[in-house]
Amino acid sequence: MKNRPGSEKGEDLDVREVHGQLLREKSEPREMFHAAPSWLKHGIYAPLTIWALIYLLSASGGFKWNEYYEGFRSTVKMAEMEKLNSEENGSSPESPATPMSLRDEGKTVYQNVCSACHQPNGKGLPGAFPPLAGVDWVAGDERRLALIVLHGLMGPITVNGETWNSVMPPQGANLTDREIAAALSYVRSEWGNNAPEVLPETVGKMRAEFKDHAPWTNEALTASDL
Amino acid sequence: MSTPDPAASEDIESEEAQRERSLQERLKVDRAARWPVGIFIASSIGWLVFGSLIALIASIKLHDPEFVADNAWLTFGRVRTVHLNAVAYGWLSTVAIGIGLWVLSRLCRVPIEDHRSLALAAILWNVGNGVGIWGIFRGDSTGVEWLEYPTYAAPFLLVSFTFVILTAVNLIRKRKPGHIYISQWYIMAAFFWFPALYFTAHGLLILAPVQAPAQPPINWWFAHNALGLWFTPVGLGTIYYLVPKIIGRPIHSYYLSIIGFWSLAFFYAWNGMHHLIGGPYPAFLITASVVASVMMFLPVITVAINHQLTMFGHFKALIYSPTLRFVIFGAMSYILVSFQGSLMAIRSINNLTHFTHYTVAHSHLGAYAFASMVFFGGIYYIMPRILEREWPSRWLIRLHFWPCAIGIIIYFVMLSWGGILQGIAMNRGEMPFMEIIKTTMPYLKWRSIGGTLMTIGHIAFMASFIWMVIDRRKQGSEPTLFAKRTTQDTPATNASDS
Repeated sequence: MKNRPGSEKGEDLDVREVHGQLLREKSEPREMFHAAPSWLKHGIYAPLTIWALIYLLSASGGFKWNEYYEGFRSTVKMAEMEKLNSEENGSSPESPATPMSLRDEGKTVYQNVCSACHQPNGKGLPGAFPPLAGVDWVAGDERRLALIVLHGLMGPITVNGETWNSVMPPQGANLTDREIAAALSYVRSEWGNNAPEVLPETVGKMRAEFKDHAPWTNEALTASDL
Repeated sequence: MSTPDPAASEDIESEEAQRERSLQERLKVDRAARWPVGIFIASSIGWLVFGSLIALIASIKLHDPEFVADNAWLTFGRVRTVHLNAVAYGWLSTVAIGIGLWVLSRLCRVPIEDHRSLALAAILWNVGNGVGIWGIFRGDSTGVEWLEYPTYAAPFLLVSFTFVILTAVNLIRKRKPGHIYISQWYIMAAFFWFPALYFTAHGLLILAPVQAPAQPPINWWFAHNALGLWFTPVGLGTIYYLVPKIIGRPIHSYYLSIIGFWSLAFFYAWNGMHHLIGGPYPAFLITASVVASVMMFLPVITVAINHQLTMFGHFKALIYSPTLRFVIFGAMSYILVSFQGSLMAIRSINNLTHFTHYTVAHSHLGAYAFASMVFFGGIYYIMPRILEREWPSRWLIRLHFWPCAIGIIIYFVMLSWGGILQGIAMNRGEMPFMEIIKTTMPYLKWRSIGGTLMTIGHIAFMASFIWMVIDRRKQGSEPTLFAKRTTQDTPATNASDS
């Protein structure tokens, strides 16, 4: 078991002559047994643990699978409120409990769907995506605007004197009439734009009238006789 | 608790006989490790240089997109991915296996038994990496971050790592009686954690993918643990072995070591979900991860105190010892990167740093300034022992240390600063996206400068390594040091060491 030095004389010599690296090495590492300092236990371990428990219990939404973190607001309660509101709205549309205007609703839709291309500030990206701020297309005919969102738009167009040639994908299948109307209302009243709201009924009418239309082009829009 | 004395069972031996026996043991350990550990380390250096050159291409593309853009193999999506895999699996994992097995073998005082098979496993490991990298280059990446190697590379890695685990288990089973040193805890655990992580994630994300919404948590559980439960424990185990070995002083406290190990094991596995803050996941899942990430202060402060109290009064050794200089650079970076990581997991701070270059700087502080630097130190210590010759030139070691150290500092400081500016601008949402990208430009160029410096250091390192392997003349017993030791800093029984 133990390698008594005397038993392997030949290798001993070997060590002395060849393996200087081993000879100068310090002994194998050991550990001393000083206790953990008490300031570490009371000043670090304890406060950390207490904080951890408090935060874990206060920011975990009761450990429910459907509770998402929104600055400590309960997403479950918010969903219940919303359901309640929409039920009330069915009987009395003027209910004061209605929390969001069409425009506020549209802001969320815009941020989720439109802002990736047209940018949160509505200025678009030079060369790729046309702006929405201060643009005649946006302030103009609301029906034309609804059609573009419903079915998409491609080919060259002129926006504020500049020519753009890119593709806008159709959103009609992803968004409801109300969502489209909301997003358009938001766009028409933001960044200095000041055009009237678009009603969900208008979008619905366009959807029915031009059912499953192919993506629009500038010519097709002009020819559609709006 | 009574204090176990590791030396108690050996009292009957005289001090001289003990030293003699220890010498014999170490000689056998080093000779058995020569081929397998040598191959792991040599190939890891090859991957390091390859990974750095590829990284440079990716970095330059970020401020100069037309750079080598006509070749499909060199498009950004592929070179960036190749860089990550080449350094994570080719460099860090390979060197971690080599150093880990050597340290384990030394501390168990048992030579690696089947070193021929292990040497074959080392070659197989490199074949697996080569196939994986080639697969990514030709466009077969799986698209799962940190697991991009195509499925056909996995069998090589699986077979090879099985050999590695068997070797490690065998060393632990046959270890000589006595105290189990802290490095053994860390390294043994890492050899179990890494394959468990890799093959769980590979199975659930690639072989039989779970439903899409459940994939990101598994993905980040794996990717973060690859750092925390694989590179970190092997790195810490290496620091714990080398520091006392060089300054000739025992680790300050066994209790701190053990608290550090178990709290790392307990908290780290939860950390990955902090990558999903703001994502569509239940609040408790994210909160648990934020808590665990902040609780990482506990093991890190504990380990830091243990290291500092051990080093206290011996910092002079940094002047001459290359190993110690790399290792202490790594140990300091470990403290910094861990503190930073805990803070970045806090929701309000994450809100700013998420999806910015700040995160990239952070990950390089961990993988490079900590893990890689420690492993460099390990290589400087191990190679003279398993080859039984000295490093050829102190100038080449200097040319390795300084460009790497300065390079990573430039990289980290500049990219962090750029990342903060980027985060502020993106949160405000006033500036168009293209403008935000333009503001980060100077910082991206600084990154390329830092990366170039590091690559220079790596090439010097590789040159030094190749010279050492080829040139059989330098077999003297004088270590290659940065400077002459002026005073003996300990009343040592044997001389100080590289």
